[in-house]
Amino acid sequence: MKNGKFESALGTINIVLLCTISLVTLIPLYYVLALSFTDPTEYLVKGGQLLFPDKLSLASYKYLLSTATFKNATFVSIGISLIGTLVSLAVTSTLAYGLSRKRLLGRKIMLRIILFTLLFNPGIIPNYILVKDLHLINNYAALILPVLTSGWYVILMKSFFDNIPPELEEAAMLEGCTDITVFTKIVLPLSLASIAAFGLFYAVSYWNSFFNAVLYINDPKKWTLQVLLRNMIIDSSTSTAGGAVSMESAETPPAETLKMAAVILATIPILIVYPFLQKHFDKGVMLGSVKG
Amino acid sequence: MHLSTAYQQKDVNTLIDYNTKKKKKIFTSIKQNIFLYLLVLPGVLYFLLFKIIPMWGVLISFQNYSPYTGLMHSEWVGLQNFKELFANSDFVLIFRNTMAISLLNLVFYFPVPIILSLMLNEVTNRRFKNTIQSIVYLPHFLSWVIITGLTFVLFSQSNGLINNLLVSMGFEKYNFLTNPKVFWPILTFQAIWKDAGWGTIIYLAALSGIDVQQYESARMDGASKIQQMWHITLPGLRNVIITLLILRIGHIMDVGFEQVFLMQNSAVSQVSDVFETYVYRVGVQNGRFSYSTAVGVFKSAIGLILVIVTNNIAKKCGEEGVY
Amino acid sequence: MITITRKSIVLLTASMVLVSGLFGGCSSKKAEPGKADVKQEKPVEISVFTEFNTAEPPTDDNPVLKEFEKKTNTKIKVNWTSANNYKDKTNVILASGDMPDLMKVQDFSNSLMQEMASKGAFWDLEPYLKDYKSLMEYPKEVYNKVKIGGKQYALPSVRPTEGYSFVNIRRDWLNNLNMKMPTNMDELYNVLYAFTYNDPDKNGKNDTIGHTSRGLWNMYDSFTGAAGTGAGRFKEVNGKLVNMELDPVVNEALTWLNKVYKNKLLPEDWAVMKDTQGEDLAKAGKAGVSGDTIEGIFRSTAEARKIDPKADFEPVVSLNGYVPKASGFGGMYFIPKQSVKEDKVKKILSLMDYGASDEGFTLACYGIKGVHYNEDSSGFKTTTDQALKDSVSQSSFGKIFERFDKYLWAYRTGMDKPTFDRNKKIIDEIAKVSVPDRTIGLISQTDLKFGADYEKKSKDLKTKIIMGIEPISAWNKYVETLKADTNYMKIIEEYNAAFAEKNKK
Repeated sequence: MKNGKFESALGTINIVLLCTISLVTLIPLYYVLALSFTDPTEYLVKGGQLLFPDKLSLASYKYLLSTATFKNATFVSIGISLIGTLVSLAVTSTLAYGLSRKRLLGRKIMLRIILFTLLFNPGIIPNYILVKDLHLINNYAALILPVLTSGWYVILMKSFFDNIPPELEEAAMLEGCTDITVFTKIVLPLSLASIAAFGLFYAVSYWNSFFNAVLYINDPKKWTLQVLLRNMIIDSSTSTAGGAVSMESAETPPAETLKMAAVILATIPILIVYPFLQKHFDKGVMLGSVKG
Repeated sequence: MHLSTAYQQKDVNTLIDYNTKKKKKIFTSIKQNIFLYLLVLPGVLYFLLFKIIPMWGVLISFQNYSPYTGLMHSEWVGLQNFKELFANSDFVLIFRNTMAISLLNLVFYFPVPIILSLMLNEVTNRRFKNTIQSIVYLPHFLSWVIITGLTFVLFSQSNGLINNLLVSMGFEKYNFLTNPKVFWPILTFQAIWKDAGWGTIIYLAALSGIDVQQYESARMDGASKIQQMWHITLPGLRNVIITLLILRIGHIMDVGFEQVFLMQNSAVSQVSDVFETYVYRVGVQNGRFSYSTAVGVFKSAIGLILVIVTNNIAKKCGEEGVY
Repeated sequence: MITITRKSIVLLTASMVLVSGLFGGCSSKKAEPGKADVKQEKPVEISVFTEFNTAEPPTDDNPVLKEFEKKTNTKIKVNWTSANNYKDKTNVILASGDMPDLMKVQDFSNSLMQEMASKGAFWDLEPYLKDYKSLMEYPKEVYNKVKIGGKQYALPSVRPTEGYSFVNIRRDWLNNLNMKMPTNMDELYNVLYAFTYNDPDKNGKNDTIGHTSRGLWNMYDSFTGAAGTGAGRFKEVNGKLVNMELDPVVNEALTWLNKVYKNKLLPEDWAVMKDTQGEDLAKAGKAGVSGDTIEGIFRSTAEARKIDPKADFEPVVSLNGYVPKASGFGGMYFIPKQSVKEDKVKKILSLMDYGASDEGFTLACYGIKGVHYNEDSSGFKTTTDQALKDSVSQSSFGKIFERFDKYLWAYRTGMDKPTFDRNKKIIDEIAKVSVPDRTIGLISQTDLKFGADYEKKSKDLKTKIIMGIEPISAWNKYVETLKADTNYMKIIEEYNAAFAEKNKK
């Protein structure tokens, strides 16, 4: 009896805390949203301190959407994200699964090498030269291939696969399944949660791809959305060009409202996709039933 | 004489025998597991091509490298770049700042997503749980530019919201942004606000992999929620937590350039200079490739040592470890 | 002009055949140049790598680009990179050896570029320049500044020299308070004080402040008289470069600034504020003194006018007799020797020459008359919306094609004529007294290695003293350590040596 009351009290405290945290998170987010719909002059006058703009203004959004290349950039980003995520998931999960099976010879060496590549970074020049030698400069593949598999995710995904009991595998192999079948028909359906999670991570990182696009893509028609948006909202304080830009700026530095609108625009697709993935990591798995 | 030669011959035979047996073993093993090897082939190829091959870049830290002269013909200078780094009068300061920010992150930021996901896991109403989770992950998408801007609006001494609040309550204004004492905590707080929610995703994914039947049987045995959490939930998360912890420790010298660069200012200079900003100032601006690579190699070496140490500790405690 | 003999035609044609592999547009000249027989030639393809600062770069079918191609018989392919990441991309392109025909490098001190130049990777343009009238109109001084090892590898992207970032004051506020434009630092202090406490906008509220925080170091420079990008280090005294950090006048400057800070004549957060935040204060009509180029400050005037139609930021001519002179160039163009043959070099130069002419430069900055801009009887231009759509501006084509225009910084899109005329007069006044940064165009290896660190330490300490966190005595102590620091003294030596070297020619 005591247990029950105590537990339900804890449960309530839990909910209260979570609500508070959500609120603390929401308020600044709301501020960003509000600013994105604020008229730049009103923003200046109020010194950025406002919660409800006097008049809603779509000026920032109109400006951002006015570029000829906006549609292009959106398609490029969507395309890269879709294809990139699918291929990345495929390569990452297969590698991670293989590494989780102890009978793979050279497993330890591979893991150590992957870890090594995670820790040591040779810099942009060797990577650029490699992409150039592969004739991928200005090619969409340059936005996918060099970042195809993240060592971080391989290692993490492997730890997820480590949890899958070997009895399942053995049972399937006895019935004549190959590793590939075991992987696709048994392991993957059990791992929907981690696939959803890493799929989301990859999708977001492809969607946000910026620096590689600047380095490897020369044709503005092939720019990603992030490159386009950031070009419009850079200013001396945040760009690494620093002094040079501020000394000689013949164009208007972007209003804070513009930066907020850019963030909202760039985030919308993720917001749309997220709920579909979320349902995968909130329900439990019945391993027992699979055994049958 | 004859006897020893005979023995030597026997040894050699055994050796040959052993080698062939071993080769045969490897061969059969590969044949048996051919599909497994096929599965990992694409990934291995990727790492070989895009990660191992460019590794030659690490060598330029031992040179006076010029891309124009090329790797083969650039002058080799051994440890000179590293010596220059250590000789810098601010090296200790930079090292301290980097470690401090990273450790604060490790101690205060790292547990938050775990706790948060446990809290979310306890919520029975799925819609409520999903809504909350969908809110807290959002700040991840705000760039550091925006977050520092928000920080300024909140904490500015001239006109910040918090200072205005303090004044209206009768307190004095506080110089949040120019006070070295609170610089590190503010960074940590920003990191928590930005990424704690996003960090819950991986833990929630791990939690959903725990067999629901375990909870069923535990409840039938009369275990309380707390006991269930301690004996079922946490162990289920254990290897993900440890993996992430080890990886995080390996990156302890990486502090994230943008956040520090945007937040630093002259008034807090002694606590805000980290390796990334140092390299940016001294290396990137003037194209000092060798020197900036050397600093990176130094950081990575420290990370490597720490990873090896923590991995071994983990293994001794019976965990899987990263490798 | 070049006279073509039959022999050179043969030689020319032979070398063109060799080049034909990479670039399609080979011309087979049959007539002498000077005769408008361009229809017989195929347009020469020229690839350019350059920066842009507009919302988006001009597209391949941009009308202004097409016009340039028509007038010079070229096919221009531009690789536009945002100024944001320009340095990184410059380095990888130089490093990979995959260079375009015409490449812009922003910094003279870029070590990779310097090394490549000294090893002969680029064409020495000096022998060819004399044939291009408009290019020869660039100031000789600027050409000399960008010489490397005595050779003209760099074609400077010329910019104006007067109207560089300095102090600007709300003239209407001065009028409201019956004050004059200050000429020295004491008068400036009084202006700052009045702007903060005497309600300069006459709205009955105590809601203004003297300085925006943007351009604070310009005021510092007025004490030392050393030009630079804010807190300049070196001043030319009797033909030698003196390091002003070690000069006692710094104490004066820091004490003055500390007084300004203590009396809250500028925001308490100034050390944390970014340039744009400072500018926002000016735009909002909340502060009356701000630092910017004569052209840039008009942004603040234009915005402030939305709140108070009389708002007017007027550039100061000089303070304590000091006003900075700009370097005269904003980047340099190089032509790689290995991939570009001699006749193409000439073609590139004639393209740049056209861009440097009156007609070409107007085309670059303003676009096509009637489409992108309109001109009134006095020659004053006003841009149209189409210019914005087509990304025609100084920040796009104006980054490639430059003409030395003394009054370039006097004008900004949207400016009214009276302001423009006033700015021109101010520029004339400034030209009489402006102080250049003599270290531009000089290389000191020790400075490349350690300079950034010294500058940071120096700026950090100065900031702390201004904010009262450290006492002024801390600066004296610091100066002593600098004087004893061999690397620091070496930098001074090296710059003086390079200075003497460059002046010999």
